[in-house]
Amino acid sequence: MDVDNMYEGFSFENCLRNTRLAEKGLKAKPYNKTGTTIVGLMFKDGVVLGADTRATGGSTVLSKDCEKLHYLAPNMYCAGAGTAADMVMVGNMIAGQLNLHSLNTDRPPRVVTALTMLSHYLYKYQGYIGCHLIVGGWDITGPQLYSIDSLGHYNDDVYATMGSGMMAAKTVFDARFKLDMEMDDAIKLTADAVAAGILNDMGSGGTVNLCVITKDKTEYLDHYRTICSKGPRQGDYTVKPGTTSLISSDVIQVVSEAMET
Amino acid sequence: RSSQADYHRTASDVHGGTTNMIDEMSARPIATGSSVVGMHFKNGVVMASDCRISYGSLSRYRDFTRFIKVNSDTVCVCNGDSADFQLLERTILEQVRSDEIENDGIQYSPIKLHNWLTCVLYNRRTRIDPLWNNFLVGGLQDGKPYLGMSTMLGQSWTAPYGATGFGKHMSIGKMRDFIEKHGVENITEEMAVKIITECMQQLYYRSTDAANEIEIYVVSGDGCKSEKTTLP
Repeated sequence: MDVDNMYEGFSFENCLRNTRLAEKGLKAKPYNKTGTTIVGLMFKDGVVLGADTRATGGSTVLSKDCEKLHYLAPNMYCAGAGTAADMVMVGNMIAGQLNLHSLNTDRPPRVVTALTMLSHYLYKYQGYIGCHLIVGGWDITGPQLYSIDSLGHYNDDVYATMGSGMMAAKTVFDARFKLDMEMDDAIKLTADAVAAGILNDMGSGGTVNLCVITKDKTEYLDHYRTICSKGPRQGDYTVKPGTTSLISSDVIQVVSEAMET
Repeated sequence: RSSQADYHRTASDVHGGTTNMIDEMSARPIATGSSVVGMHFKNGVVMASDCRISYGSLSRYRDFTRFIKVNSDTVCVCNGDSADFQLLERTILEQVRSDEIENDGIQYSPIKLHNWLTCVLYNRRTRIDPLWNNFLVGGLQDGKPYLGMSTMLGQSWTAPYGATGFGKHMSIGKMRDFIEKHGVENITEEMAVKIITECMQQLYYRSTDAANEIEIYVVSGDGCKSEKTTLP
């Protein structure tokens, strides 16, 4: 490897080619984005992270049940909006780095470590890695909640919303958030905020997934609330035996020889 | 090709250089008003807007009414360019005056105003010279609450709730939830005004061009009344 000429960071080689192709009329494929509602809330004993489960590519819903709450560490999860592939890969990478760091330092990882790693990584790629994250967890310094955008800017706050449904969810939080809520109230408020995103934003849909992180445990509440269920089938469409009348039957013995290899 | 800034297109850009440079069309709003919201209640409609006109990032006029009270049954309000708003205001009020002169008992009603506005806005957009306003027309139509929206592109629809600008993202969810939970027949004027005020409050929190001096119009069986308040 030629260390002097090694170029770190995003390789922009193909951008010129892509522009020329676009001029010739080549339309880029819509990549799988999570137009999303993700929320995070800090309450008395910890944090709650919430997300919807819809993944869109252009104006098609590509997945009705995709996972947007990514595991980073036993005491830390991140909710991600943006390009689905970027989210998963970055989540996995940071989880691995955190694990190594934790083994190296012989301590449970801190949320600010994940925050620093993510923020530096995303800044290096100048926003081309489309990850908008809410990182939350409980570490030795207490409950932590941060939001990071794809350019590497982060913000700490007691509640955060990101994704296309962020404004709908923020409306719910702005109206009803209080400091030091109890866990049940916090869970309900978070679910309501994601529900507001699901109902009022086209990029969000599906069910509400929550993750509650406290000092003692991390609870992943999968499909905590279903917003619109399909409803039971109105009719019975199974075909009963005897529906097709039997006119005649003929039994033919098929002789097969076992092949020896 | 025009040497002006990108956002200031001339007719020749649009028609391909066949007309003279005298017809210049602005492709952006200049002095703007922020979001408006409105919703039905049992006996009528409540609509609200703030009293601020922004000039880019300057808060230019702090006491500007973006409502047009057409008659006791019909009110309309808009966001967007204030010059275009004032043109429409002049035109509408002129029409109201000539109706009064005619004195044949035919008056404006919400549905008439809504349809007319939609036609005008669509016509202007088709000429690539839009009136940069999104309107909310509210009132009582045959004794029943009516709320119609007309956007600057000429889209039009009626609904029990409506909002323009940032209100689309922040307020519609709240109003929709409230109406679905209670049903329009059970919403009193106080409840509606409270929700609308909460919507304007949320907009003041999160929208950079909103202000806390707001004006609320209530059109109901008791007539049309307006109130100016300052949000805390």
